[in-house]
Amino acid sequence: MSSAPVIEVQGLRKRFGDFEAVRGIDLSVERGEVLAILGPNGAGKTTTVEILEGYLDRDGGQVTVLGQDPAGAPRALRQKIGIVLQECGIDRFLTAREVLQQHASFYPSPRDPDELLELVGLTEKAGERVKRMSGGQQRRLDLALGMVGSPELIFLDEPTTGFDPAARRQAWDIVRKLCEGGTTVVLTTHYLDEAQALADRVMVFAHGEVVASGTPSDLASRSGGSMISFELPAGVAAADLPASLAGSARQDGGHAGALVVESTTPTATLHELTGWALERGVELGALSVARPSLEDVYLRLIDDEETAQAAAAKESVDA
Amino acid sequence: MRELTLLYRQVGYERKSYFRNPAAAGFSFIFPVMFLVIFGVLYGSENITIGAKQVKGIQYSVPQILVFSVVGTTFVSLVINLSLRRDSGELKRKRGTPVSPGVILGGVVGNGVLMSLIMTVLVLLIGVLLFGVHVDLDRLPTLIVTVILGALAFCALGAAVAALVPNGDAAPAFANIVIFPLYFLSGVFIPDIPKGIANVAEFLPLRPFLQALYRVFDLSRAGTATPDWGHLGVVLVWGVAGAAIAIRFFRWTPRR
Repeated sequence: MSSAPVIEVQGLRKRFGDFEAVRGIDLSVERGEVLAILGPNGAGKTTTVEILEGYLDRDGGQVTVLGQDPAGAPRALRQKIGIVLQECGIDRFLTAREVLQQHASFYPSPRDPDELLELVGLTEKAGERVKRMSGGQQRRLDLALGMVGSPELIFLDEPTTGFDPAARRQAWDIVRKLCEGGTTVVLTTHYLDEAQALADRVMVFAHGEVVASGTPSDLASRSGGSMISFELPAGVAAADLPASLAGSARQDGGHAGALVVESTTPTATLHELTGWALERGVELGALSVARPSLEDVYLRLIDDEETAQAAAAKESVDA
Repeated sequence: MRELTLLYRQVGYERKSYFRNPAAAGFSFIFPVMFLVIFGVLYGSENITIGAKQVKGIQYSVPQILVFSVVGTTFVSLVINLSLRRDSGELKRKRGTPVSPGVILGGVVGNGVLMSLIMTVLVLLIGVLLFGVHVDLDRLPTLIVTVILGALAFCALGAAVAALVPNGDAAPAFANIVIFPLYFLSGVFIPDIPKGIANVAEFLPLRPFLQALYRVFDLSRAGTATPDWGHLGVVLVWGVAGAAIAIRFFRWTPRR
């Protein structure tokens, strides 16, 4: 096995008319790695992935996928990758087994359709027409189709969007099982828990740029501090807090009426806060100290990016 | 060789999918049969006027219905089927596998030709058994060649229109707005059309196909009939033009 990266991208750019969908993205994926690309709608995730898959041509930058330029989707590349798209795209009148057999016939060294059906828990549905299968079952078949060619690299574009929590967990288990044996995975998702559950590394995209990258725990620890959250009783305002805390306290986005103070020295900060509360005879409701979740970090990154974008837009208008 | 095996299997999957799809199989099979019975009952046994000639009705109705059948199982079916599959992402997904685009489209075209041949057998059986149409057995090879070439040409035209259709919802309208005027102008529904219109229709794809088929059933012609290369030539030129448009403009991904 070569040690060269499976995917290497430098300065990738793509525009649709006036809209710059991808604005200079660099990324690299090692063999066997699971990379999650996170970001809101319109962040450039799908555009980037479709360039890597060979569906879209890029406007600028260097791209190598498994040692080849994916532009124009050369057949030698298509033999080695698996693609699971956002839309299901399966002939609804064929049965699950027929669809898998059909796709298996497209590849030089396919996996056994029946074995794949068992892996995704569809053995009992093998003879069922796709149109009579539930959305979740169709998606599992979809995952099996992505793997039927024994790919070295598989792209999963929002594999569990629209799933209920139980179905998502089931889908994650399937992805893990399918990829045993060192398949490299590039996955796009809106869900942080999905990235945390599956990925070795996470890249956060916003407005066509990479705004953060690292392991899920790296990213979570990026904020550097712990989150101390509490509620103030009626009649006490955030402005009444000691000066050192009043400045950094902000509304907790996920918990109405609560305040959050972020601190790299939580012991001292907590001491100061509770000292102040005892002195004033104030009871702090729902007091908690927590490590920031990946979600906190993600939302802040997206927030900061939006603010920066808005500021840049304002500047260009002012100028 | 491997491509041919793949193509053969692909036609098999398309056939299964087609027969299991009530909208596709139902319409393209039931409509022509229904029209054949209506035409047969209305003027199958009477003489009708074609240009200057008097012809027994059913001898002209059968080629009319054959045109209608072939166009339904090829042109109309491809326009709708390919547009819907593009919308659903099925074409995009297949395009992401190593299979060649020729095999994917070839499977659909192959199925169209196969369905046309099955319809031909069905129409002939009903024509012979119910309405006493006369078929010269020596002319069957000519009939088969004519149906296959016509089916190929109308598949190509279907793929061309599918390339220009914005989405699956619009596909039936696009198919019908193209084909219905042609049916009427070409004498597929109403046999006796004014000479001026007939002269124009000679250069459109449908009327030459009807004439090439009619030659097989024309009792005033003696002996075996070879394929009507003059008329088939016009049909094939349209087919090649359709294929060129399809190759140039066909989209595999849904419009966003």
